[in-house]
Amino acid sequence: MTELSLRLAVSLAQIAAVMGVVMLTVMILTLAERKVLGWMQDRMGPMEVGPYGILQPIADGLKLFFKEDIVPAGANKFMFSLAPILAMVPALIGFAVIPFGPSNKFELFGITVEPFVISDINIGILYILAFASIGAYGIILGGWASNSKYSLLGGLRSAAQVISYELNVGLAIVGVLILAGSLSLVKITEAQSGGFWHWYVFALPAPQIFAFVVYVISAVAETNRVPFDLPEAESELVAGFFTEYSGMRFAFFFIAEYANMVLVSCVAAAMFLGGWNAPYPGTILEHVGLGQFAWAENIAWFTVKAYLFLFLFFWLRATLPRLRYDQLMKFGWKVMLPIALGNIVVTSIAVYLFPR
Amino acid sequence: MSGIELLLEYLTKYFPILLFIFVALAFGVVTLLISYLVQPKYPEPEKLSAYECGSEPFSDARMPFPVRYYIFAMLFVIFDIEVIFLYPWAVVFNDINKVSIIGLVEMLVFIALFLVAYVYAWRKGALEWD
Amino acid sequence: MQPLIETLMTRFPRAVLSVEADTARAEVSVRIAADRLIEVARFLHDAPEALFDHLSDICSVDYPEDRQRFEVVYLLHSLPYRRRLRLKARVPEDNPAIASVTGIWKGAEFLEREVYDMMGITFSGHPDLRRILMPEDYAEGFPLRKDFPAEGRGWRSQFDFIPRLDEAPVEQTDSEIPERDKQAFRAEAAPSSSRRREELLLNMGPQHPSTHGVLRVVLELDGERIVKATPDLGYLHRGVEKLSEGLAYMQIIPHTDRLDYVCAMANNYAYVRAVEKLLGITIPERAEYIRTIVAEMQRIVGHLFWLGTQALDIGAMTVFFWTFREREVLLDMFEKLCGARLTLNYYRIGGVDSDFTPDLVLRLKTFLDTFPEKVKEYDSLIASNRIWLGRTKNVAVISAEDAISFGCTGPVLRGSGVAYDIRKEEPYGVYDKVDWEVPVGKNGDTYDRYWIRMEEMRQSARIIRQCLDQLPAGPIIADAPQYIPPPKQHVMRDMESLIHHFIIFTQGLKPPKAETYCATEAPKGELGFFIVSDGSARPYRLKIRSPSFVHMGAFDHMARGYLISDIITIFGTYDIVMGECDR
Repeated sequence: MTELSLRLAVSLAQIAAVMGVVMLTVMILTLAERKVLGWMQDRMGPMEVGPYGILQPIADGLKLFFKEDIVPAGANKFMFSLAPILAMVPALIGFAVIPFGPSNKFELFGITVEPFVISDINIGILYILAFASIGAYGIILGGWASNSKYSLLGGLRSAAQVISYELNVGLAIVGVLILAGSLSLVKITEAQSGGFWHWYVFALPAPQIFAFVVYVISAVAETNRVPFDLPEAESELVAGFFTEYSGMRFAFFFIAEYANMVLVSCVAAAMFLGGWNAPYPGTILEHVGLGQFAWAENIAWFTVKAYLFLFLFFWLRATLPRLRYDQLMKFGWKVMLPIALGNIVVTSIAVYLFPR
Repeated sequence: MSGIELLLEYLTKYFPILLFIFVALAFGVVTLLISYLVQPKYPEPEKLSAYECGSEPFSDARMPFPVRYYIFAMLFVIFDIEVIFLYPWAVVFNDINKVSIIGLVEMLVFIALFLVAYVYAWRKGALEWD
Repeated sequence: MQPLIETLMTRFPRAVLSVEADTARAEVSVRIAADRLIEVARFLHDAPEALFDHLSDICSVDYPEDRQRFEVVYLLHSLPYRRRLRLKARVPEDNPAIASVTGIWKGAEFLEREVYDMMGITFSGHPDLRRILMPEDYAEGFPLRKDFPAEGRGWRSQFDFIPRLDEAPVEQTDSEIPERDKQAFRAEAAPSSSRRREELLLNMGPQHPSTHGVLRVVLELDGERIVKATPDLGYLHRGVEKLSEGLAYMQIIPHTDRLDYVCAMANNYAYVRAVEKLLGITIPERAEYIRTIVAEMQRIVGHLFWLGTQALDIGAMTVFFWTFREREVLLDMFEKLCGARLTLNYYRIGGVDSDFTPDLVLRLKTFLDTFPEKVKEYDSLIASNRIWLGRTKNVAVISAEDAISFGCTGPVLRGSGVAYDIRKEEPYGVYDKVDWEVPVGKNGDTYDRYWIRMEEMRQSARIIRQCLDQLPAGPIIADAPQYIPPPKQHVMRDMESLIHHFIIFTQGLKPPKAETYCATEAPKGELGFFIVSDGSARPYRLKIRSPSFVHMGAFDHMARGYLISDIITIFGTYDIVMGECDR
């Protein structure tokens, strides 16, 4: 019994830490996005709240928390309230299987603790994909429950878009699975240690560079970001599926979007860019004899990789116009899908010819 | 491994995930609840009306929508299931003892079948938005 | 022109009532019998010696004393022959009806609706004769009639007020819009059977982030595809034409600022040119140069604004901020020039308000040195971007024939390959003294119109540079004491100037009894002012031919068959400004 409660405590601590980090990252992202966009567009971004506007996310959060939460008269109240939670929860729980650092197991009162991953399940990536699909329900339910045509169109667009690109994500990672021989993100990451030439995006015999490109593009589409932000295309559908949302419910959709961005960035880092592995063999701290702190360096590398990805999201937003819906679907089904499929064939043949 | 041990193994692995789902749900519900308690409430008809650019909506928004969306949904279901079949194969294919020409050919045949369906859908115009 | 008039008189001896040739202003108007309108119009449109293929505007004038109370004026324009003709027909008060010319010029649909809305003249054979600028349920009559008081008849006092927060909430009533009211927005009449229609009617606007103001378009959708797009105008209607009838000529200038508020200078210019044409005064050379420079600066400002918003509509948000950066530089110069930034008021009847300072000339030259680089910078973001090309090429295509028939002007017409630019066709200012070209498109799609406006910005920079180099010395306002107020220092010193000043500012300037139409190439297209003067200090009738309004007439034609996302690019590609459209 004590073991159970101990496990509970450890898990809760980990969950609290992960959720805290994710929420903090989302807050940083909202500010960073506005700042980065501002600099790219010859302006300063938020400057009013706190020095250089760094307290802006807190102000935004407080405002949304205390704001009147309007439920439109014709809306289905239960669904309308359920939708934001349904959108946010999958985005958060995906982090359960992400390895943020090396698996330094240690014993704590008789139970084994892996500090940098909440649970190393052997179907890790499948679990993330499965829950990512549930996020689409939140969006389509929100669109439908609002009883507004703009929301409905946004929700429909979103559903069709997310499932189309979900397929491409699923296909793009098959190459990595062949190379790694596992669905567990922990094992996939560990298989890429020993320098950047072991990262799957470059690794011989079958560099997953095309799969990586397909994954990145599909990930942008799955998170509804520019240039694929059609479900919430401001100039067309006003705010798309969350047109009718305000206050905390709106904030949940917002958190869901940004948490999803973080999640796909983490998955990309783990699957293609070596996760927490440094681009050189081992870690510097190990070489200078501070091996017990090597995990800090690993986590730093993971953070850098994830943030580079997030920067890419901002960069795309500042650069690209928006696709039209038919172009988006055409691109997903007729360009991305064949590339991803071809990658599987090429990878499997290469692996057969040059077995490990 | 006996059944009990497997079950225990599963429990220790999946228990944190269940816990996480519960915590995330609780976080959502509790935050909404607290926010609901502290926020002002001034409902009025204009504010509660559905947004349609300031004009009165022509009709209820809950109406049949075009069949195109369903077609894509069905295509997704079909293709996604085929993708799921690829996963177990991908995981074991590169296993040092199992790399075999049979595994490769079988999967190439499977992908060829996938392609047949894909080309059929393409030729039938199911992948066109219009 | 003379042979054509003679042909007209011999072919339609009973239709042509009289011909008025205004030699001083080089304008001809033909008065015809209202019941013969269609045959004369058909002849003028089709006959190879006439070819009046472009209907600039339809105006109506009210003469309450006359037996035939209302006059309908058709401002025709022949693109091949580069000439204009006014066709006038009178209709009586008890039966104010005239045949519709929508079958001849497609653009007449909106113009006739406006005449109906404002003056109450019905057009038989019009496909959709409803109010256009005033609300559908407007109950006060027809505002531009002379017996209609400018302050209205108290209809608005019946409006409901939004309930206050401390009042008990009003019970929500679930009102469904009756099927009858939906008919106007449907592509075809509803089937008589009980089959449920699959098409969705969607309001876009007036409160929408990208309708470029308070424009409402009712879309009939099949999925995301547009079956019919019906613009609903008038949310920004302020009755500028009615107001003008109560104002002295000089007092109207500030009202023109608010027409196309993005390009206030262009409106000022169009208006003062019309008044000057009416007065028959010539402008000093320096003033002409300054006017041309400022007009081109305004064109750059307008096009920068257009580029920013068009790009923003398509989702490229960075372009928007970059264009506003350059726009800001120009607005600063405007501020130096006349103290305002948006609703500028710099042109005066007979010249301009203040002279260029050397500092301003220097600033302008510095701007011109860097501007082409900046245009390249915008191009680097979008010109070769595949998404941008995919969103603009072959979208909202309008053929040259249709564009002419709808009365389109400016970049919209030039995008379809018609090289019609008033600055070249009927040169004013100093446009004939500088070197520049009119960019012309080929396909009539959004991309061509985008390319044309980008090119026009470069051409404008070219014009400004040449004008600055040639800028002569001299006065900046015409010397015509009975029309133009004398300079302040003269007023303080000599008696005669004081008297002129006093008369102009108490009674207003009084042009001769005449009427004139004057067209100017505004950034959005042909901005025309048709002024009827009865010899008093106030215009008897002032009609504004605004390009945005005329372009909205072609909206449905351009939007059908495209997707919702393309609607947005059409708003952008028209460069529509509701202040001008609704007036």
